[in-house]
Amino acid sequence: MPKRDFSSIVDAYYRDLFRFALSLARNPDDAADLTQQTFFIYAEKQHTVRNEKAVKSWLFTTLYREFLRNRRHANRFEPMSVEDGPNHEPTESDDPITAVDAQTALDCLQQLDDTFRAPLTLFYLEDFSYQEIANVLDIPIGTVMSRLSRGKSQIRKRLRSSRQTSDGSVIPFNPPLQRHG
Amino acid sequence: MDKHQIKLILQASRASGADDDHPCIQEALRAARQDPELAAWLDRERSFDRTMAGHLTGIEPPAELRDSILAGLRLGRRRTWWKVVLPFPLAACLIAAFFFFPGLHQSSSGTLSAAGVNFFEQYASLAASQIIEEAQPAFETRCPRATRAWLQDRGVSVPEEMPVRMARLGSRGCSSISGPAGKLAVIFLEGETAVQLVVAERGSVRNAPPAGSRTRLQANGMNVLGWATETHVFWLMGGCCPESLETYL
Repeated sequence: MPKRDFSSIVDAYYRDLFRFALSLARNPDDAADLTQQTFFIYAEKQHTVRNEKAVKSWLFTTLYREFLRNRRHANRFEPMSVEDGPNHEPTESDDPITAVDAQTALDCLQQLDDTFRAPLTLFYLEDFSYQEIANVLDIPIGTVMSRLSRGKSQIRKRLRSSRQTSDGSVIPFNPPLQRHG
Repeated sequence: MDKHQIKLILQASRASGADDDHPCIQEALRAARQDPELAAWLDRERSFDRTMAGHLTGIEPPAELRDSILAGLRLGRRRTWWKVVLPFPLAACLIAAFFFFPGLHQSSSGTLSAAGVNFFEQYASLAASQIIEEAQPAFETRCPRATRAWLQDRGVSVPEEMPVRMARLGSRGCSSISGPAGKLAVIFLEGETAVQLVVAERGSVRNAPPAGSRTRLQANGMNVLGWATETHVFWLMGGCCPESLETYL
């Protein structure tokens, strides 16, 4: 397989890398820095990435490690507390996701602790299977599954909470049908 | 496989169906389709996932990001370790050359020759600027053996005015310190006694001596030879630590 030139690799991955970085760093400037830094490192070390198919995974892994390294050194990204209450199962009538706009949904995602935010973001980018997410984040597969499940539960909880806050009352998106007779 | 396990597995599968051929997920999908309650749950779950994925992939990066990435790569590459390390042994060797060869400096008038200043500045300031940017406190290196042997073979004795005798040379580390005198870069040299070359950017030092001047300081066991260029101030120090130099600046 011919080796792709650098700009084609940038074109292929910079958008998703930025989205992943944004969910980690929680602000666009830091996300852009992280994305740029990741490609900078890749430019230097691309000779070590022998398999063309491994480039994507390498880039996401590197970005995540850079994020962790920056956070350790600069403490710029304040960790959020993990609110892990009872795992509320959504019912058809109270699933809040379709009732909110994109910004609210993304805000709720970004409010999660990065323990859940990182795997969920990779999951929703739909580029990686749960096995690949485990490789990128360097955690066991079982932990990825557990974090995806708990992370989704937390997002739903936050979406419900945000809807209650903004409207003052909960309005089900799909009100139960009135049964007559 | 119980319901909890089925849900856990299916929550890790992508709504696009990209994982549906995985044996474990296939089994969970089969089980879910046979149970109306699970089937309804799966529909809601995947609808939720599709919506979230749509929201996330709808984010567009800043318009200039792509160009910034490509432009940044053209402007500069990260320095590899040897590029950072190289100036230190060079600086140490050049200090030796500076003091071993009379042609490089002039001592009677107390003023460095232009050749000496330029020769030293060319490398030592390079080392200084790199240290200031990237302090490497744990850095360890030595002069290349051949260069050391060459220097020693000359058999040149160290001038009397030198604060220390340096029969053997090598830089064994560097660091940077910040204090009232500004930010100082310190190259630790290996000689018969400990010696440091302290370098500071001229602008960061209060009351910096005029360029080309040379000073000698001996007090409380401290033995310092200092000189200045247009851009940097240097002190070669023995018998003291760089922090104590600050009290004299």
